[in-house]
Amino acid sequence: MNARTDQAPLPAHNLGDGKGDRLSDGLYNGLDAKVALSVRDLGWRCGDRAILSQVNLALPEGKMLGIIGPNGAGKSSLLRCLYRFLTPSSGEIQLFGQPIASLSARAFAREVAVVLQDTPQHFDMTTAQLVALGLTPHKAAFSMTTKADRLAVSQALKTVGLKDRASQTYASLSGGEKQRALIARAIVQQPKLLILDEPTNHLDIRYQIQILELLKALGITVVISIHDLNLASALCDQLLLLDQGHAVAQGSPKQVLSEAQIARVFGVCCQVAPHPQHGNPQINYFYGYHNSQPSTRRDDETSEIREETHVER
Amino acid sequence: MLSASLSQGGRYGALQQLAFVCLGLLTLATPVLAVSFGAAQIGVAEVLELLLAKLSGADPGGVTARIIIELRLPRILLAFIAGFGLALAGAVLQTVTRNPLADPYLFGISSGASLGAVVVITLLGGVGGALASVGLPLGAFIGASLAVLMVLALCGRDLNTQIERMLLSGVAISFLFGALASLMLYFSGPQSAASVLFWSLGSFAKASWSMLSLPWLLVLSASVVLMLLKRQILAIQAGDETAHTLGIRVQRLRLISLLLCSLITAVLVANCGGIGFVGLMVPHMVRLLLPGRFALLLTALVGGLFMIWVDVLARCLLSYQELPVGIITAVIGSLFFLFILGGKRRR
Repeated sequence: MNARTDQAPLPAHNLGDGKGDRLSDGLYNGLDAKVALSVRDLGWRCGDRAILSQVNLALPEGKMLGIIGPNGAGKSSLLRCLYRFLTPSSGEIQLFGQPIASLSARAFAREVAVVLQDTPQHFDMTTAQLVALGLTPHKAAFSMTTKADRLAVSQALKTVGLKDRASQTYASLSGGEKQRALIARAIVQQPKLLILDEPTNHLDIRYQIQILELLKALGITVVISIHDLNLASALCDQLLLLDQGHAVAQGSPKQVLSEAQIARVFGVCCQVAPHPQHGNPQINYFYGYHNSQPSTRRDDETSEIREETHVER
Repeated sequence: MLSASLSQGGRYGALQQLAFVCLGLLTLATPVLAVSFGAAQIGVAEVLELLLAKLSGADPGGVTARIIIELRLPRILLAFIAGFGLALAGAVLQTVTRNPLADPYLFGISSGASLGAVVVITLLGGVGGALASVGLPLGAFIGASLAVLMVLALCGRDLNTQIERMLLSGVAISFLFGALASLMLYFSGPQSAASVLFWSLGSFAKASWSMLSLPWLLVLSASVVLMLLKRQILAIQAGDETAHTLGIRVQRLRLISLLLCSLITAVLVANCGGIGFVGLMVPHMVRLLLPGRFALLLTALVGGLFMIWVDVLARCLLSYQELPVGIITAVIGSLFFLFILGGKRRR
């Protein structure tokens, strides 16, 4: 606990329960087998601009981490560092105690699957073909698709409920089906860690819940970036709140989603109450900001809260 | 074939197997059928008899045997490998650039080859004979390689801009080399202009047994490597970042693919001239017939067979005169695309 607050000048590490202590110990000795993903002092600069600085996290195996924060906070950049699309300027990322930089491209793809939303314009694959792409890191050159491979593909399609869409073109699927097809592809990849960049974007609420519950049911370690704080509160085990490249809070939804934090980072006023079903924070926003100047809004409305919670930046 | 027959596997797998069997039979039958067409009509039975005699070691004499064995067979083999290579290169380039309009000539290869050919024809135009017959393919190959190397040098290493830079520098290099070729032609005689025009439209008339080995060797070996990389190449279609997350080194793979396709195209352009539309059209055709597939071998075979029959048309459409193949492929290709567009609008 103390070690971590010394390392990173972050205020909100109230991981007071035993779990938190064990995790931060695991973070620093790198031996705790329960930690699937650990990030230490991660920084990434784009030219002169620091996009991410001093990000630390430790995610236990089988848990779902939600990365939240306003637009431009560095969520996507953090994910891109995690799946090695970006090379961090500083710090280290470990997957089950092994630095990810030490793995080959293919070996890494067998450990980590990623679901993005960058489907290109001219994309004429069928759903089954797309899902079969998940086999890529497991197959050597010229190896045929075996019966077991085909079974894996059709089982993944079944898991996400798209079995009857196998021979349809991916382009003809609805938004929610597309997202599930991409998740099926990731399942075929048999990863130990699954990373998703805003998997609930553009989906209606039913699909948003469906997608996240599907991910939880997979039982593997998951990292997602997500905008909907209520959804994140309901379904993520841990949250990491990013603001301007800094991790300003992390821990359980209860620890991260306070009225003060939300006001400070997102610049909106809200009321947080326990959800009637799951007891995690439920956020009700207040409206009517358009009269105040955007630049002064934060200062005016949140200064009291800031003092109250001793948050400095 | 590899990522093929998934899930509803049975039906699709059977369809593809059927396609392969039909194509195999066609591939076997086509040479025999195709050699029988031409200025001198030769019966299929006679062709078969002659070929069997030749295969069994005998040396059947006579004019008919010489027409078949020394003129028509090498021509058919050259046409086949040209169609095979161009269709494969087109399919691969359309995938790695994610551009359905990509074609083997996209990266300045044809104008580079034209420039090389123009240089040879205008400089050695009067010499003729052996020097010109070696010089023309060599000049075209050097020109094509130069164009591709310039495109590769310009396309850079940044993943985000690689495709655009590739396409744009291909266009720029095409114009540059085209302008140089036009300039040289402008200052040369009408004889050179005519021979360059005929060369650039493509023809298999110069085919002989001795010139077949290099195109066959290069095209087949490049094709084998591309087919080995098939799964990786297909993954690029899902987007560069996604392909990266599937363990693929995208920039490298794209450069390798471009290099191999260019090698195929350059050696073919050098030997047969610029035959358009095959590399663009055949991959689309196969995709229409077998949706949800990435059947490289099938595409290449269809391309080869298509080209043989286009050459038969070129030889037979006009009596006592041969049409350049490039004209026929362009006519068939454009009609085909109009047909597809019409079909798409109706749907």
